[in-house]
Amino acid sequence: MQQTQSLISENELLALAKKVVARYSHTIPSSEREDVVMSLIENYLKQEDKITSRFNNQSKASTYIIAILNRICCGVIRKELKHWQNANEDHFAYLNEGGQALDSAKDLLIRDEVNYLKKVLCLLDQPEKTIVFIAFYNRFTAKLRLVKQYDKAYKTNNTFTLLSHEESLKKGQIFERLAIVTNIVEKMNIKADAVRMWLNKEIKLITNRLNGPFQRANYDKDSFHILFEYYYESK
Amino acid sequence: MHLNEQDIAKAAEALSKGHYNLLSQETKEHLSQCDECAMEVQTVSSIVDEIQAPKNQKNHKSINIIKVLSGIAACTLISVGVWKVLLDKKEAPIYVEAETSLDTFITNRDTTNNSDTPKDSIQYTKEEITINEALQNKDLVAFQSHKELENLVHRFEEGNLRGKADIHFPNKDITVSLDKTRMQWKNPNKEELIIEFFNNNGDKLFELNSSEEDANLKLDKIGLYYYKVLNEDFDLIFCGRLKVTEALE
Repeated sequence: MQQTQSLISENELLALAKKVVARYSHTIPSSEREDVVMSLIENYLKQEDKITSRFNNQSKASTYIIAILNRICCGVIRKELKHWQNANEDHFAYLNEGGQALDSAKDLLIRDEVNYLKKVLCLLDQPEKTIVFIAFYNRFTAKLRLVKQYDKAYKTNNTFTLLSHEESLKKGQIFERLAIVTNIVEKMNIKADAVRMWLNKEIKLITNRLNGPFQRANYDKDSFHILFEYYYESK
Repeated sequence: MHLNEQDIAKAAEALSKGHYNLLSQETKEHLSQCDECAMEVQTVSSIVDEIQAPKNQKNHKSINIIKVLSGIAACTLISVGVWKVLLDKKEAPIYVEAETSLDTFITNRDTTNNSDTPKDSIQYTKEEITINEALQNKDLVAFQSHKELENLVHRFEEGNLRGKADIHFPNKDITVSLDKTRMQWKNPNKEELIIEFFNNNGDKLFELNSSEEDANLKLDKIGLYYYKVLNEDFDLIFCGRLKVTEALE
């Protein structure tokens, strides 16, 4: 059987495996990490021929291997998580109390989380609309560039003015205003309740994706809005 | 059906590079609906960013002296104008055509100038530097050009100004000093403009919205910067180069 050429050297494979495992430091106890790295490498090498033959140059080889190692790692975590939770109560108790932030410099952590939120938002169905609507809901100052990304005809539709906040607006009126904007921009005919349900669903989806996989974080609605504020300020 | 690893890798790279919109509609729709695949893409993209970040810093921080010298030697062979290369104690000046992003050096001196004329009165078209200064001057990194932004600047230097003709930005490089960072342009009709500023790594630093004809800039390091001017429809109407030098006082 002809052996296909390896995509990566052993040293590079080890480095990537460590990077992948480090991403799950909230889930994998420190005492187990080295074993998990070895497990990733072992699994990879067992399937190396198959992995190499499936690579079709649609991405860099290193990115493809990261995707492979990540999937293998998730498989290992699913298999071992219960065992780790039983054997390493201290590690998981510390995380559940939100302790993970204590180990990192605050600014670095916020920057990483904001970058992660950017990715989460990018993968949504209508990211431009979601950003603008969440900002309005949180009573942030409207940003012309973001409004324009949502509504190219913002001048004709007067969208920017509609999304510029009036302090006196009550919560119920917020959704009425958003419904007006949706109906103008997307030529629909929906009520405030429909917007409220849509927005709640979007925020829930974003929060789930921020917290996964394997409970990397413990965002709720309130902490998500704080993170969103950091993100919005950077736009 | 979930995405396979190759699809995940492709989407993750697109996300990291800002080309997510170029993915197929099928992939984007799937990722908007499938939490599992979305989280895989997010995670892989984050790891890719983490691996790229130190490499980018290393590239910009370190000066490979041998590459610089080879670049100077190669460039002098093909540059237009008068040049000479030597490394003696007097450190004779050299002229080098900026060919690659590693080369930040100078090109042709204005031929009307006398070499004995005091430096202040000489109208240089570009800066002059000696090899030893080049080897010692760590600020060279700050003046390295950015390939893509340079291409954009050249397009506008050739007169491809879009939008309204009464808005004028200087065709040549703007030079300001650390203590006087005021930038001026012509905008007689007070058109709403957005001016974005980038460092020579291509990183966006800040933007300012203005309908005026000048602004004081928030730049506190010497180096080469680029700026893009957008009109209120977010069309790019100009791209220029800005150099910040040491404080004059």
